[in-house]
Amino acid sequence: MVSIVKKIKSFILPMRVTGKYMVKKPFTVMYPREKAVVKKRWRGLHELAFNKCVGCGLCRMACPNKCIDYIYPEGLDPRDKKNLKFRRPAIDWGHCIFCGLCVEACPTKAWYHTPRYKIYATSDSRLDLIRTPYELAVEEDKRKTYEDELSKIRDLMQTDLLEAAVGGEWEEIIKKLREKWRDLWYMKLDGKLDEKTWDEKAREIEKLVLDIIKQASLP
Amino acid sequence: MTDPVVGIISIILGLIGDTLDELFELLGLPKWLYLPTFIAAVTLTFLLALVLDILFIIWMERKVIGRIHHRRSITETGPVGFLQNVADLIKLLVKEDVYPANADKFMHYASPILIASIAIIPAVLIPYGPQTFFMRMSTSVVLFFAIATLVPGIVLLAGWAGNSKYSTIGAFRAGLQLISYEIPLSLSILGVILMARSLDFYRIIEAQSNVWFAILQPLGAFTFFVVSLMELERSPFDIPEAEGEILVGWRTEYSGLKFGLFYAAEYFKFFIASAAFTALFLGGWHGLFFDSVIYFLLKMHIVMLVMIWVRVTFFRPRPDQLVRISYTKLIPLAILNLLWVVLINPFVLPLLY
Repeated sequence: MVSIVKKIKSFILPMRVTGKYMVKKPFTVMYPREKAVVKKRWRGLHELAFNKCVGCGLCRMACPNKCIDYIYPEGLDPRDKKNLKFRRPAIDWGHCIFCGLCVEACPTKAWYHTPRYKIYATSDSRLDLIRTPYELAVEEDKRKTYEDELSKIRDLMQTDLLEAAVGGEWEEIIKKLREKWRDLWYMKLDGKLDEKTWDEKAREIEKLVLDIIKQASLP
Repeated sequence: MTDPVVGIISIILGLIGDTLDELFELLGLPKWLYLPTFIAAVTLTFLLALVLDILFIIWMERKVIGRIHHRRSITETGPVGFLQNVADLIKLLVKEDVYPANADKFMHYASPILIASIAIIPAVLIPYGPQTFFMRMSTSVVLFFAIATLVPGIVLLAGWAGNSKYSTIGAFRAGLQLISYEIPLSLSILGVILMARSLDFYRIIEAQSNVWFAILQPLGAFTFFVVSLMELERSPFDIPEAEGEILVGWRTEYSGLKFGLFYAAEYFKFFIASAAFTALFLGGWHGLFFDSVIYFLLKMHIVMLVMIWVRVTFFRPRPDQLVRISYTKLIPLAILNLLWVVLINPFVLPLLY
């Protein structure tokens, strides 16, 4: 008798499982037409509270993929330790794994995740995935949109994100170009170069870097 | 209360008759041609309705399987993906006609046509409503199952005509399946025949006006259900066309329209098996308040839904396990049901008719 009951159960149990799923809402999200419902703890694209940030450098230390580096505002000397608190982080979403460690490490809670998940780059430039602090800023007055790629490169030349973005055989070349650019920058900060020659010379190097990035971005 | 569907059907028949009348007058055709044309027109109309229903059944099957897999299944073509089957049909129609070298050409082309046409014949023997049936005869149950038994024979033929090892293996598996399900099938319907004291579908359905036979003889209903799954060659008993073992079994070498005909035959069989289950065990057209074709179709589609549900849930046994299940489980169950019917027959007599 017990075995008969067991056998009947062995028929009913799987039918119950499949029947439960038959009336459930399907898991699939019809993506372009429907928006994905994001959980509260979803780690989406970052935003930066520009005024809260103190430039402590903990997020860069925490980053396992080394995709955070700092940018100093115009006219500030990075060699001066007093200026450390004015630097702000730039992030390379192309290398970011969205682990959330930078958000966790931030002592002032300047970093945080938004529920946004759409991330894309145009086919000819990896530059779109690297965001400067001015693009990440929450505050309206700090936010800045770049007119062209060259002006974005001007800011990003301070960071080592460019090397990582191109990778491979180009990495060394970019490193050398950046060193050259930094010497020029320091000369300008020391007052050995006037504004116009600095601009011309730096622009030359930046154009080279942009060319290399575009070359490396090609499939 | 009269069946509202009868009114709709008579309107359709009247429309066909009127159209033909005017057409004959307009073209001046001879009078003896009228009856064959009328019959052809009516048959085509009902076939069209059947094909539409089968499109719906295929859509339902794909949707239900998708839902059980926790996905959406077809969504893009037409409203809720309904036109996807039409698109598939068009694809099958325009495909190139290929036939294997050294195959028996006549049998290769004849078997899809034979199987599709024979599979649909039993549909005329089932009464769908108290006034809606194609024919009545005193031995319709016997004829029904005799014709239904023909199909595996043609499957054997089709597999042999495919001239491929997979189709031959599949065909012989179909033969094996036939010998394993035929006995419990006959035994399980014997209980119904004994209780209704008739071999006529119409009388059997009339006998269930108070209580369904599925309630009076649940063992018989269960056996018949399992056996009809075997006859349909549907999962979990899709041994003759076991994907992943022998490709698609006996229809490996058939493509395009020939495959389409096999596919249609499969769903004709599906339609007929669930109709037979409804007529034999679920009380046919009997329902709440009035008797109608609507109840018959509703019950039939629920049976189909359960069959699809079973298809997704259980896995396929080995061929030898199938024979063992059939001979050691289903035949004793059917005989037990027969004994049960003999026992309770005197007591349920006042409940019938």
